[in-house]
Amino acid sequence: MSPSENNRSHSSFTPPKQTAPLRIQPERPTRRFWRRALRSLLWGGGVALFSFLLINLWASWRLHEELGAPIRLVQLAPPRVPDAENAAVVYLKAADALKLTDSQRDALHNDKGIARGGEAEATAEAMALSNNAQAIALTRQAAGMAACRFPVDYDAVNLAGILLPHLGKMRTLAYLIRAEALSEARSGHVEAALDDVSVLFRMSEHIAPEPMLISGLVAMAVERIGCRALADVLDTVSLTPEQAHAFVGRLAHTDWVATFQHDLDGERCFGMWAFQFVSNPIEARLLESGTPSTNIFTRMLGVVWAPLWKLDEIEYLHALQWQRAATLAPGAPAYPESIVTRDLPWYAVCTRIMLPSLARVGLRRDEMLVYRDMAQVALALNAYRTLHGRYPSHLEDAEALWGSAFPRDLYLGQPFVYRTEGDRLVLYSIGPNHKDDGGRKPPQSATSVTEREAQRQAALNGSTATQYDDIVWD
Amino acid sequence: METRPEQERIEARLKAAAPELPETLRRRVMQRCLDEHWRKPAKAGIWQWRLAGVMLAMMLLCGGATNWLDAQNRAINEGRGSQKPSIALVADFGVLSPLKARSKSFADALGWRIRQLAQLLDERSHS
Repeated sequence: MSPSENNRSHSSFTPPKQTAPLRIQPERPTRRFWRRALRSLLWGGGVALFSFLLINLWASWRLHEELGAPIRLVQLAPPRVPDAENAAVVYLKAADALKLTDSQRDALHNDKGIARGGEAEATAEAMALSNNAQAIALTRQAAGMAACRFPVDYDAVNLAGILLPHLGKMRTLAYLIRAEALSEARSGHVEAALDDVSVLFRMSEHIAPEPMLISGLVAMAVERIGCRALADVLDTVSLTPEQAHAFVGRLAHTDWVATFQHDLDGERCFGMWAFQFVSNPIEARLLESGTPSTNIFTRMLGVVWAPLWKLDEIEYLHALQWQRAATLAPGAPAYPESIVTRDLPWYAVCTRIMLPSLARVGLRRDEMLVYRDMAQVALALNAYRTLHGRYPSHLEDAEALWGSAFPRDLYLGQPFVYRTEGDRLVLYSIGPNHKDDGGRKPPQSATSVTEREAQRQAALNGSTATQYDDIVWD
Repeated sequence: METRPEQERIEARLKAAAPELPETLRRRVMQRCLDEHWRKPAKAGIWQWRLAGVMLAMMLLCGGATNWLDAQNRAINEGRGSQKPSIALVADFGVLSPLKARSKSFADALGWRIRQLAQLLDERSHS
């Protein structure tokens, strides 16, 4: 713009007639306060939401790192079997054919067994056997079948709702067969008695493939019933060395280490399903109480709780992995159950509910391995008694007759502790405390509820390896 | 926020800079100055909006990534999907050291897939 133009523009400027007041209004303090408060609120909320999303992303990433191979319970289940070849169908028929009164059932479940029970118990057992010939025959038939799959819906939407009624029935049938084996032994039918003991081992083998810890425990219990039956039968009858050798091949063949691992995989499936099925501690509590339900409030809590829920699942996987590593090797030292839950963070609510306690399962698994080894030694000792009319003074004498080395004690690898008391055989393992307690068993072998509770408390207080824990062949 | 001293300060500076300016014009210039001064907080607010926009975009990204990861995790929890889905592709850059170990198996899998593809192409070319 030239100076002349500039002057022209100045000259063309016409001032307003009335000067307007300058609009300078200082902001009122109250308005300023609310403006600032709103701004702070918005920024605070934004930053909080942003932080929450970041933490949630981090938790998802961490969980993704921890999750292993996807596997479903149904993939771990035993293969499907046609009904005509399925031992489970026959077992269930046998269970349906059971006719037991309460007193007869109590007498059968008595851990002391026919040989050591009272006269009343013996009578009740005899009645039970005479009333249940059909159930016994069906159980023997089922045990002779190769394949077994009980009707369990492993593919259920709600895995917590899976029912396992067959486990209790199998235990009752096992007790019945054990009584039958003893009855046969007392009647002098040695082969029939051994056949029945073998039936018990086959029953255990039929339950063991189920991918659940509870099934594994019942399978162990049934094998234990079989070992007790064998001990009682061997007390009663005398086997030739040939019979004893032949029966070694009929002992249970379940690989308890592999079964334990298989069951742990099943537990992992179950736990991961639970973390997916429910999304917050309230729903987890409801699931625990058997009434899983959700509503808008629990869903909203699930959204807010999401990062902690993911961290909870990570804790579950870590704790399960730790327990797996601590118990998978046979003979691993016992650890207090409380050690697993003690270090869990406060938010690991579902982990506390879902985490199985594997310390005692590991001990029970080791017991079964020891019993199976002791069964061989007991058979050899029985054969020695048949030949010499008495038990040997030393285990080595029976070993020489047996022709092959006896299995060693799982704990410390020493020979089993052996002695005779009169005409009675005392054979035991030193147990997980690696100490010879003179053949004294832990209280859990007793049926007393108070003793069991005392031991449970002791375990919670950190002393799983109880004072006496010898594993006795009886 | 405006105050009287601010007005006086502007007026004094304006008088010093252009004393010959007519009063009415000076008042209009002053009004413009004050208006500009009022806009300062608004200008500062632009950066706040920009920051908020960036945060919103990052929140959307976080939400999307979390949702994707959760979908993968859900699939594994329910026993579906593959063990380690395409996140292994990200891991294979070697930047994320904890995932280095997995990159080898991913490379194996990738090699297998390439061989499979080559075989398929070979079969097609022969047919």
